[in-house]
Amino acid sequence: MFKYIVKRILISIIILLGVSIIVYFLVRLMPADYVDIKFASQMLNNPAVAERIQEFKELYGIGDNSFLGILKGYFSWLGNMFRGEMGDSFIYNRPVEDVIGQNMWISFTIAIVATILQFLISIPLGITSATHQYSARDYVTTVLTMIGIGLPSYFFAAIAIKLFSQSLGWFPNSGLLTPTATYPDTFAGFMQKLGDISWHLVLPIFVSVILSIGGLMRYTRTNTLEVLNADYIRTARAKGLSEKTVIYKHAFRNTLIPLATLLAGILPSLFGGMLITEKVFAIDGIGNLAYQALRQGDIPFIMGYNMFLAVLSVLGTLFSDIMYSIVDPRVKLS
Amino acid sequence: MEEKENLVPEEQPIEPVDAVETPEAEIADNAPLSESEAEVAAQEAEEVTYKEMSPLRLVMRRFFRSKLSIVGIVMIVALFLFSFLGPPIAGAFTNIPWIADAKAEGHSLEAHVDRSHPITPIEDTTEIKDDEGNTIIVVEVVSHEGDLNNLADPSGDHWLGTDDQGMDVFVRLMYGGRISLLIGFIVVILETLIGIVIGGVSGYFGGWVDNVLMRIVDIFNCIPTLPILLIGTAVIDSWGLEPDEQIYVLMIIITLFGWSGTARLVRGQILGLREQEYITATEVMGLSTPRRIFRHLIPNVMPQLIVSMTLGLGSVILYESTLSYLGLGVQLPMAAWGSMIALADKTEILNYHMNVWLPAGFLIVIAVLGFNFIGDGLRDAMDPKAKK
Amino acid sequence: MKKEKKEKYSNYISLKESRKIIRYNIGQMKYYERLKRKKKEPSEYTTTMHDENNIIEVEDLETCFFTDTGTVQSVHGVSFAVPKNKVVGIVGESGCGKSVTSLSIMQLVQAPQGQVVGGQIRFNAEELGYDEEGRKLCYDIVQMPTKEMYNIRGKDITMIFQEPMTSLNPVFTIGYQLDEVSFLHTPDITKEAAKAYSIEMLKKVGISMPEHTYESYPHELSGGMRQRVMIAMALAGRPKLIIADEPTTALDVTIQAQILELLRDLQKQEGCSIMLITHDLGVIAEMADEVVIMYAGRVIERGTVQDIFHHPLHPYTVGLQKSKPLINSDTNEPLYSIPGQVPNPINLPNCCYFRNRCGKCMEKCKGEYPHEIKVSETHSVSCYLYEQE
Repeated sequence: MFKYIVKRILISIIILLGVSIIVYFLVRLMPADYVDIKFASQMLNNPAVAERIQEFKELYGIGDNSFLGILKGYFSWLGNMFRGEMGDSFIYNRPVEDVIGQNMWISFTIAIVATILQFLISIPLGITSATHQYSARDYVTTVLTMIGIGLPSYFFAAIAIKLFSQSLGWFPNSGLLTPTATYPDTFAGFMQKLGDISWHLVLPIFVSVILSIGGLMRYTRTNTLEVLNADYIRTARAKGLSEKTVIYKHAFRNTLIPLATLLAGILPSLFGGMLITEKVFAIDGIGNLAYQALRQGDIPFIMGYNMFLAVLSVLGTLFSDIMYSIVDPRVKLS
Repeated sequence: MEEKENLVPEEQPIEPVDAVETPEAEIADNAPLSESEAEVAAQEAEEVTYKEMSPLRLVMRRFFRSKLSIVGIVMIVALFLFSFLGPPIAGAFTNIPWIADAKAEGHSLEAHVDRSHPITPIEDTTEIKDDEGNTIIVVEVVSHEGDLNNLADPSGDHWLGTDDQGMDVFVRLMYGGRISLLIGFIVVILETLIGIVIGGVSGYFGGWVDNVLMRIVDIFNCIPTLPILLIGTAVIDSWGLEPDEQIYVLMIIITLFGWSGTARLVRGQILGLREQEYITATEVMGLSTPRRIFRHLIPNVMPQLIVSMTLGLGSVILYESTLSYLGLGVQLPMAAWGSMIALADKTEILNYHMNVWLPAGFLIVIAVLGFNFIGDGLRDAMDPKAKK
Repeated sequence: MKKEKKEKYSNYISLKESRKIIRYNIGQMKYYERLKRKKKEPSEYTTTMHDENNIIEVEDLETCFFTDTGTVQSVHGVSFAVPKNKVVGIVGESGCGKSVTSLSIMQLVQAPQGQVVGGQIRFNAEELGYDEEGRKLCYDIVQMPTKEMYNIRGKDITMIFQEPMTSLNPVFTIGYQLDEVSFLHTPDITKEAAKAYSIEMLKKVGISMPEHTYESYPHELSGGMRQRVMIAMALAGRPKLIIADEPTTALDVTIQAQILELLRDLQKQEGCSIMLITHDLGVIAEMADEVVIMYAGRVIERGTVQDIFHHPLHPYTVGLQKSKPLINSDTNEPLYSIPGQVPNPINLPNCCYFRNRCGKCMEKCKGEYPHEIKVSETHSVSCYLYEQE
């Protein structure tokens, strides 16, 4: 087990290196050069700035855009990484890890709440859909959840904002706090603030959940159908177990096995997808920050964000392997 | 015997068939055989008393067992007709003024800006009485519009109104569909080709080749798709290509970061197939390696590949529209569903001009849903484990 | 098989026919599914035994599968009885309906495609007394609602399946799966008592380290061990009837003998009946008291072991006997095999299905299906050859 994990971590490091090379080179080729954007207006008025622009670029380490220059930049980035530093964000002038650390909690909260809700909703739906295959119930749940797969997040977010925020006025449409509100520095005030934040999070979480239940529900349905045809289900029935026990005990435990592997993909993909959701709802999670960084050419931050997602997906794969060995007694990690 | 009669369904009585002239009649009586029917059947069909399903029919039958497959096919066919036949048909309506204008000026219908709007400022007049009793007339110019007929409401000329640039929404939906479907199909085919080659080589040769290729697949799999697509499209944006050339580069970028899943699928399938006896048999027969891969292995992977291709179409369309939404995909003046929805970022359009952005979203949903329905149906139909 | 069929294209179902079949199937399946769910008074599914010494009597059982190519009549008017404390063997080629017969008794036919559409399965339950005329009351499993069936399955009638490798749930321990039976059928049993009972059962089926096996998962056991566990599970409910569906087919020959011996010993010890389904005549000769021979969904001959082995009547039975390898025959003749194939079970005509493969086929055989002819008290056959006798 231990040996297995060590081996996996070594492979993961190679993968992450590959990811960082590809991302870094692409990022450096991006047109939106931070220095160019920052000094664009000044350059128009003051030709002296234009002369010094190259100097600024050197300062940021993005002066040389030849292949060798990029390679040099990559190795200096990599060197920083090994020292545990991700460099300073151009926009925020602070270490990238600080910026990510500070803003990831809101993204994590949305992701985790959405994941839990997603599992709670789609697994029962998938099972009932499978046990009532080709019935009206099956069709209705399938169509509704599949619409979720087809909805583009920004489009559904726009509908949700239009409906629940603009027309009905139930939920706020952007940000995390009501701009005009003040919170006293007491426990009650803190709770009030927390309440306000959760209030703002309802729509983003709702959108994330609706978009993601379809895939999981379909997967549960297919797997349950397969499991229900297994010989051991017939044995369970022959024992005299009621249909309920057969499905929710004997079939369910076996359905969980393939679902465990799915866990790997869920967290990174939720984070990746939240880039759009956070942008639409103007929430300052790392997704939205990354989008801004992309627009402004903040190379250290973009690198940090992409590596963060890559690490998440590597960890997710490892985690799902471990989950697999827990759920399925036949699997031994080796 | 009495009980047996009770068991015969009331609503679906088994018709007593007295002759076997029509083939349907023969089928109809294959349920609990009553004595007289069976006698006739015995005389008529001495040797073959049953009919088989052709392999194609078997697949079709399984495919159409779920009504959703039919719905999916209808959706996709309708979408194709709308996108590819729509513009020529629209072009034939020359009695609509703006279409006639576009033709006269030689514009493409999707990019034609309707400037037929009469110059009439929309004014809001209020009368206020001040303290001294004078009447003050306040004329508030809410919006002064030029000849640009933008954000028009749906009308006979513009079935779904116009967008903020004065371009016809309905026609742009058609062109957007063309782009989405085109990108979807080309990307999925390219992804599959790369996936077959890499996955096939990896699965067939195994060993270090497999190890190296699979690590590469892992790397591409680990790169977060949406952010890298954003970066990639931003890069091509800087090359200053024409909008229609840029689309091809866009396809390549989406392919580049999307093939890894297919490669993994093909490799997994081939690994499984290699263990099968009939593949060992091809080895014993001394067939050449390419022949074994392309004639014996790949065709056996095809069913799963077709399913994953169909499901992949939906997700490629979603990625393309997301990029267009962010202004990084298909560029103006070319139409794309994503960029049409992006107009909803303006609160005014979001609230008061739903005709501009809502239909594009529905079309995306229909496209993705349609491909998913078909993909699901195909999976059920082609599953070799499925029962008859 | 498929390729060969391609040549006679005319034999394929047309779209129109296919639609007709599907519509018909949906109607039938809906109808029978509704019947099963209907609430019924106990009187509607109790009837009387013909002979109270039987544990189960099957009469005119009809089970159909509604497939896309037409309705398959898997079990076609099958009648037989299993006496108390006896082993009845059911023999036939694969696809002859022997497994479907046993699944019909358990109400485990793959629904909704498979449905029992007629006949009676009378199960002699002890808890039912006698009616006013002194006849033994019993349940008719065909008419029984699924809910009531839960009380019989696993307790009065249990089943051992063919594939021990896949018939145990891979994610639960052996102990858990055994205890489940105790908890189900003796509701007030404590955890410790259930465990003790399960271990006792494991000991009974000859597992040497029952405590260890109790804690293991199915994949940690060999095929023979798993089949022993399956037998333990079948015994745990203290059944009156065990249905063993080819219990040794998937096992090594050496293990086969052990399992059969175990089954026979346990049957004697526990005093239950066994319905043994197999295609192996050797197994039957060793185990069974009475034999039922099935062919294409029908019983063609039945009798005691002596009847069947010493005086086989039906040409099919005779053929089966001849195709058995004999160790002490010194002739170098190749083994006999019955010519031809089992007919496709769709749209079978109402005449003897064996006539195409039969060496003694007569003009009469083209007529309707021969009725069962009683040759002696215990022996009967469905063949025109014996009509006069």
